[in-house]
Amino acid sequence: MTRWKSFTVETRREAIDSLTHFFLTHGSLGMAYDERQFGPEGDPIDPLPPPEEVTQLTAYFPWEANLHDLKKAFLEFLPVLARSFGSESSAFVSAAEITDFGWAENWKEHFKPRKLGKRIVVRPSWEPYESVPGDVVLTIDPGQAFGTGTHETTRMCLQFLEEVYESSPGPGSALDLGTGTGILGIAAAKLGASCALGIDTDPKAVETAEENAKVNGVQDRFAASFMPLSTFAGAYDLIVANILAEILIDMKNEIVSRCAPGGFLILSGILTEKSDWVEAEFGGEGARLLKRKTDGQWAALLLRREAH
Amino acid sequence: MAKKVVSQIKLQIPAGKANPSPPVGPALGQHGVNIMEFCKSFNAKTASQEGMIIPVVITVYADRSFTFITKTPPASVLLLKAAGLEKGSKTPKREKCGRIPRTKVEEIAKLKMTDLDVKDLEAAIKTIEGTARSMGLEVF
Repeated sequence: MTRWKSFTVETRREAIDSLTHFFLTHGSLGMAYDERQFGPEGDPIDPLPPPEEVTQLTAYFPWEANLHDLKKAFLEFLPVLARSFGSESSAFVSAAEITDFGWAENWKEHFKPRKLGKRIVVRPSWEPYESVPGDVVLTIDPGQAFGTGTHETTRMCLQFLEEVYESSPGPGSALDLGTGTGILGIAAAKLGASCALGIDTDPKAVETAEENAKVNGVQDRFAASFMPLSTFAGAYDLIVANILAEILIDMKNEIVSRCAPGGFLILSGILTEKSDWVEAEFGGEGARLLKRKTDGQWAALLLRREAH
Repeated sequence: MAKKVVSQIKLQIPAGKANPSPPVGPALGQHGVNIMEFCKSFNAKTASQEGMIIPVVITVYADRSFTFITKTPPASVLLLKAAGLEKGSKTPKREKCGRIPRTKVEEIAKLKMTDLDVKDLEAAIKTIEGTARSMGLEVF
């Protein structure tokens, strides 16, 4: 289980950026402050809200952080803050250990099986689903990795995958860059790829993706790795990369060169205003646009590498 | 009809690197928000600012949807940049780490004005000056 520690202080608003700096230099992962909850009539829930000029700020730390040392450093820092923002500009409130995944559990309650394309259905393991002939059911639990099918970009990539595999035989080998939960690579394997590889820089994602491959019965056709693409040889008949426009463009040369001539590229994670840019950059590498999808602020592109 | 707001929270997190661990997880999870979706959108919007800490204001609605607005980096980050420093003093009480001209402080105050929630520029300058001093930066 992953655990964290938190350190909460009360502070005058002017001192927030000073405290940000203080906590970051002491290894904080990030901070939360100014939390306000509202009731059904839009009125603040807190019966005793702090005065306007004051707020509570919680800094989060890795489990290894030593809160005793931190508190000592904070108390030493208070006179420094006082010189800048007046006495009592900040005060210690509490420290805590965070050991549960309450937030992840809450989210689960709202996660139901959903048909995302013509055939692909994504269901969490705890929700039953009665499939009809032709359905391709993916069992994916939302965890600490991206890709549960609820995001527009994942959905559009899945729909492109379906389209690519509509003609038989579909691409034999598939590569999923930034695999997250493994959803796209596993979908390719389920739709007909004889072998699929998912790559992610996050070891936790790789673990999740391998686990999901087993759950979906494609562990013989899907493998995940956090090794860079350059350590794998060969070209792929299909590459799907749902990352971000900037990263896709940084990797355009590598991505296109690892796509077999005549092979397909599915690119997403692209904000609509950046899709022309991505298309042009990949066009320059010899990948021609076949189709574009947009959903909300996101775009996905289906390209084909020229045969020569 | 406007959507009903159930919660609003501000976070300061590294640009392009949001993930479901704290502070994002506890802040959004309690409201049943799709945490992964937030992370992905935030990372997409802030990818070009990687290495910076970005304040973000997240509003959660009754239907578990959310919106967010990213703000200018904290004054501390801008001050270090202006002073040409990697990091400030860890013990500002005992050691100074650099100097910054007052004109730079004023520039930052103008830039941060809308996010600082202050009455006027003078108050903004005072806040930025205070931040600089608390980091071990001397204003001259």
